[in-house]
Amino acid sequence: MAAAQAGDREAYQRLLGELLPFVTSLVRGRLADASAAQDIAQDVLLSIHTARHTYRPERDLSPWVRAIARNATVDWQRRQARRRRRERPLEDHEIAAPEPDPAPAEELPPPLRRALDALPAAQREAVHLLKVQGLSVAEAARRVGISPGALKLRAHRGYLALRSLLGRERP
Amino acid sequence: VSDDGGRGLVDALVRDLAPVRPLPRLRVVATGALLLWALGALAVLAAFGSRPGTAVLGAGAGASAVALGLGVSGFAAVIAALARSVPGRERDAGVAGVAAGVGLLVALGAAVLLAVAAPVAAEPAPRSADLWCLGGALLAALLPGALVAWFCGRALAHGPLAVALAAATGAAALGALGMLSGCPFLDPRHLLTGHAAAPALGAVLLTVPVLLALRALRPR
Repeated sequence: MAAAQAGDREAYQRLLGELLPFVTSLVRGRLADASAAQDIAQDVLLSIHTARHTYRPERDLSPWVRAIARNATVDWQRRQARRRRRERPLEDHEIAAPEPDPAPAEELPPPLRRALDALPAAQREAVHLLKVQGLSVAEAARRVGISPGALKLRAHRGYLALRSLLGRERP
Repeated sequence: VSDDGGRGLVDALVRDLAPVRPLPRLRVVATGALLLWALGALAVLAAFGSRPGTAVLGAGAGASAVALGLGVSGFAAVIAALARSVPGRERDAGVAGVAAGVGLLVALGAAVLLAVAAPVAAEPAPRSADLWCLGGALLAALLPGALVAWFCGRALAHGPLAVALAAATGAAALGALGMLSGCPFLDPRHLLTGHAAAPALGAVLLTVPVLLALRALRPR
């Protein structure tokens, strides 16, 4: 981590590669939902990235990572609890017919479509609603049933992953 | 698909990597906050035509308990705010939070007991002295409060409201102690309304500005 703080990309790649399964297993230990655990593990990697300056090289890395993972899991559980309190199941007559999609995924350039398909479902949905359908953050968040902040985070992760996937496809 | 997403994220984060300087140690920031508190308190007392001293310690056990409680709660709440902003230091934050709570209880409890036991002083402080001392405490809280808010904002404050509350209360308690050290009025009512009440006033008035600072400084 100290090398990563100094800008060593190889060390950082190795570190994140080792941390991803470690963090995923930490989160899985607290959550039964495997797909949510993978989402949270990616949130944790993002937090580690943005807060890497808060790690002090003379201290153990493990408690630092565990605390970030624990906080991310607790935050997710709180958001879920708030969401459950706020929402109620729709009655049949309240479900409207789906609106026509202004830009069906089939019309996207094939590399972009492939990259989009490779994203986790939650990220793909966020990117699709914002960039393909052109909805506002508030509207997209309402449609997915999460907060605008959570939607932006999902979309941000999706953009990062898309950039990486498209870069890999470039000749 | 998710593995691809994870690997894609790792690749993107590695590409985004830029060198960073680790945040300073907690003890360095805490020492800095104490120095700024001393500077701020000296400046405010000088502006009010007063000087710090130890008269409060000679004014009886009750007044000393108020001063001790303010000092302990101020320092401990500042440590709690700093520690809660660094992942992995939650235990330190918890211990400091408990110490801050005990300090506040001691300060308020001693002030209330004094006011109840001796409600009328021979030479009561003028009402305006309460406002001066409370205002001075908040002014003296600004410098250490700003340093703590800067550190917590640049770090990863989990539960920003609790962090802001601890920072605001702690800085105000330290400010109140600074004012108490130069206060010529040590009657029981003034100890309660002009000094022991300052942390609560600081919590009410300073928590929101600190919270806004935390949000503005949050790393993205």
